[in-house]
Amino acid sequence: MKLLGIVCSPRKKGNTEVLVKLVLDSAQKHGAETEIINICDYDIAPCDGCESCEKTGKCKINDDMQTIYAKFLKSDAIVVGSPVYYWGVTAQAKAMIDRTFVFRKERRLRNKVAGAVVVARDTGASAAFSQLSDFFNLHRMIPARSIGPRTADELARERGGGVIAYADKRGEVRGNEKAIGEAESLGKAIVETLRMLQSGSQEAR
Amino acid sequence: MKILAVAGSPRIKGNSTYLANVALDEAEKLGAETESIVLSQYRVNPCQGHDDCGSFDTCVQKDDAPRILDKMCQADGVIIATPVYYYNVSAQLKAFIDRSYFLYTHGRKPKAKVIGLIVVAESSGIEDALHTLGQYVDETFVKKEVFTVSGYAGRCGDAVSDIKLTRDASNLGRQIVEALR
Repeated sequence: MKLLGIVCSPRKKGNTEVLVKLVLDSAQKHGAETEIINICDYDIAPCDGCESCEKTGKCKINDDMQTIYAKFLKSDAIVVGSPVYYWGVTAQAKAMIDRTFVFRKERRLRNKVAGAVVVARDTGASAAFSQLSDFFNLHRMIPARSIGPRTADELARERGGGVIAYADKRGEVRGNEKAIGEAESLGKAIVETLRMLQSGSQEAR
Repeated sequence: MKILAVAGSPRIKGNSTYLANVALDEAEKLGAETESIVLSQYRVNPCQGHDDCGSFDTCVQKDDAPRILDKMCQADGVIIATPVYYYNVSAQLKAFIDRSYFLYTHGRKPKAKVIGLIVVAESSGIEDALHTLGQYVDETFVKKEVFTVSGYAGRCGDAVSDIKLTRDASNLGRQIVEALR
């Protein structure tokens, strides 16, 4: 059970990174193997719309996205975290999302479990959250769901498929109990969804 | 009267770029001075999110974005065109939008009071892209009138044979010139 966390903030140690780490820590506690990457450590050009991938199944742009493609494919679950810039995910996140067009035709990300983490200063969080949900849906990924028993309090603490937090100063989200609760719930939900899919896919065969 | 088009397509001859050029051609016929900038032909990196952006005299990143932002500030009319990628604006345009944060932190407002938006999708996502652009325009420009053209075109070049879309784009160019007069 491999979970990849992708932080799409240009900043290191920002609120998005804090929350993605919390999701991963929680998932690890429940049995997942995790890896976190910061997209700002990678050089990713935007998609150039050549559409050659529709024929070859490969992207001809030879940059660090090739490394991330491999990470996507070997993961069972993926958490994408982005701060909100202008009512959407960052340009860094958008470049990565656009480049996944290579996976679309054969739905190579199908049935991977997905979680979204969005941090806004004041507005735009729902638009960015939808953007990530649409991205997952387009690839036929499965949003993480809390499958096992939960108390009413625990259910109140989860967002359903992700985390939305409001924060301005770097690291401020560390004091945000609601966001921390959502992140921990998401980590657990990812593992539960993965387990359900594993047993379900055996039955489906 | 200067009208600038900022095109977010990775393609020089993409459908949204074509429609932006149709709008500019019409505006030029009516006497405007026009310029088209296809972002993919320039280097516009994503914003690096510096906390202290407002304290810098010029953007820390030495690429083409500051120059294009300056041009946008000086134009009387601005057209923003994008294809829809993953239910929203292209990554190229999103990088440019994010870099406009420098204008925000420096209290700079472009002088353009008339804006044209052009969005072309293969099958869906026009609304989400227009939402992003609408919010961007609200945040970035002062008094404005906004005209919009949107439609569907699957393959590169399909808009050229789309009589309605082409006419809409031409009308957009005229509407911008008339609104500026």
